[in-house]
Amino acid sequence: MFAKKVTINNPLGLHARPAALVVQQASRFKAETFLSREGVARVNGKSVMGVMTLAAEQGSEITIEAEGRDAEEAVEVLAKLLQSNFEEQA
Amino acid sequence: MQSTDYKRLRGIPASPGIAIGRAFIYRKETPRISTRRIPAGRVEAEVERFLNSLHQAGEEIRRIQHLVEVEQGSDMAQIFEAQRAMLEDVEVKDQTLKLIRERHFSAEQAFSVTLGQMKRVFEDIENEYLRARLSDVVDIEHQVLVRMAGGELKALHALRANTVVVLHDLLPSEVVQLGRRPVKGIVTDAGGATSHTSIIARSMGLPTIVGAVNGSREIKSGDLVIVDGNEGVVHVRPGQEVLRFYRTQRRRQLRRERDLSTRRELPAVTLDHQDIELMANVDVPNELQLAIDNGARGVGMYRTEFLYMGYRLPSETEQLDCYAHIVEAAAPHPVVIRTIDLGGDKLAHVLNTAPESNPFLGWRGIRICLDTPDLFKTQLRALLRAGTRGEVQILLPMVSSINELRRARAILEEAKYELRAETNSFQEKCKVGVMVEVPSVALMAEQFAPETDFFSLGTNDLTQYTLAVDRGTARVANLYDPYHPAVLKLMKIVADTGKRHHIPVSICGEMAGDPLATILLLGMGIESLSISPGMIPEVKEVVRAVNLVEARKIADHCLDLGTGSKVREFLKDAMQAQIDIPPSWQSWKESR
Repeated sequence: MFAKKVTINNPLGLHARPAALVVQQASRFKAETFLSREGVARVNGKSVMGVMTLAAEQGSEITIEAEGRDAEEAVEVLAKLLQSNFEEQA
Repeated sequence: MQSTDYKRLRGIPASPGIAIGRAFIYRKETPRISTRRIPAGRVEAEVERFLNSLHQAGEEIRRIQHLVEVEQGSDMAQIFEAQRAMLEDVEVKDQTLKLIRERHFSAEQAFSVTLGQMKRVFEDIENEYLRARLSDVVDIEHQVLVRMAGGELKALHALRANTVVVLHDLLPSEVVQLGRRPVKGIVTDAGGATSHTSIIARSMGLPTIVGAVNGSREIKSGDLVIVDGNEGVVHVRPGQEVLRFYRTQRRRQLRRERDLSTRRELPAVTLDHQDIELMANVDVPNELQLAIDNGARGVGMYRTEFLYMGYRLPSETEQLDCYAHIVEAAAPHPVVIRTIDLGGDKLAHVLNTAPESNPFLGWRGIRICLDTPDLFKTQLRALLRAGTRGEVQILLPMVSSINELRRARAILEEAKYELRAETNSFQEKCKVGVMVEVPSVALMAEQFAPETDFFSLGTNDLTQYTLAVDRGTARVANLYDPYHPAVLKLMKIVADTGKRHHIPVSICGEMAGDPLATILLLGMGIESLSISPGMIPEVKEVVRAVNLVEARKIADHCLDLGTGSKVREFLKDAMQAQIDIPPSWQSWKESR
């Protein structure tokens, strides 16, 4: 099991399009991935509905966890993506 | 009496003719959900039904997405990208399957309960923007439930005679259903890029206008409307004068149709006794009857893509059933069946595809088939076996070099070898032809000729590839012109090569069904036209009025002209001089 905590920087938060991007990346890995936001929920990183329901706004702290063969890489990739601005204009 | 709120709405003429009737505004309704438990033995069938509906709804969203992208730009289209991602959500799928398998819920109920849980979570979100996604969840639910209910236009069962159906947008499958009801015409708000719907409406002879913006809002159910499919105008609540004008027009049209149907049995022979083969393009199996009724001599192109729209690939047996049905119905005439012609994006659910920035120039048609020989061979085996019920000819799409033809033939031989070893009966001498869509094939026709059994000119794509124009892109669609002399020259090379090598050359693009093109095509030496079933009688009338010696001169002149519009202009004049051309075709041509 690998895990990492990151902060959302995107001004609009983790809305529909970023959520879809996260799921797209997570689905590339064999590992099971989970995202959680303290006090809110822990969701499947490959479920776009799940990721959206985290309702992560700018400044929210998200914990990424992954379990499986390529878990380490999955966590790294997702961490980098979640901290980015998802190619959106700030 | 002069109507005070008379309105004229402009749209795109998608299928010619005049319809006068009362409007029926069709709005899609959410079907009711059965809460009955399903018997244990039906669970897997229910699972299959769910997965199929999910996939179909996904395809529908993809289609809408494309349409929106063309008309409103990629920003708007992202809404649908998100919807599709939501539709494909693993949690939703797993949870729904679990409810069907473990609690024997119907597919509708299982899906609805699963989304119900999602909706509650969304309602609790504080962030307003994210909470607004609730409407997408509702939309998805609606789309899948409609699919599961059969996706039929239910309310249309109660339609009365002389109805003009007005709706936001229409699927090809829905047009086919409309044709069998007392519907006289169709008006849609959206459309333009979805040319498939238009092609089918045309083949069913239903006057249709697409892209009549706000039509379903401006028109009220019960309003008297006139659909002028020749000009692309909808007259809403017309006054007496307009009505009288169109009644006369329609009487003329009906008289003409009656004349045509009594002349159905007449052969398609030119004035100087050259036999012309008129065949039908068939998109969906239902169209075949109309083709036969209109005197088609076989099917010149049968598309097989619809078989691949499910969530899994069609088996050999499923394909065999489908092909055998059409081959038997067309016998003793041949059926030219085009092997799968999809872009990789349409097969993403079954193949390992990567997004392409330019799908038109990407992994599609024969390219996919040669890279995934198992998929291809399954289709070839089904085609060979269907050939025992009549005559099948295989048409290969998107070929760009001779090696592709050779490799396809090698796989065909493998398929025959296997069938022989399994002592399955099949059509040993099955003709294989090349579709001429990529300019390179036309230019290399001489090299192809010794190795192909026939050429089929796919003028829609040939035009797009020659002129570098995607006709689905609104901004450049006006540059799309199959009459462009550059396209005609490529066609002429193929026609001449075919003549020299005694190989049949046919044409299966939309151009073949355009009466204006008939004289030109015959003059170029093309003797087999495959056209939309509804257009066969009119094209035949032109064939019967053509003198080939004259036609050759006309074609030669066209090849020397500089632009497509000059070609059309010249053809119109030539036809007026040679042939009694009815007003309904003329106006339709001009408005395009």
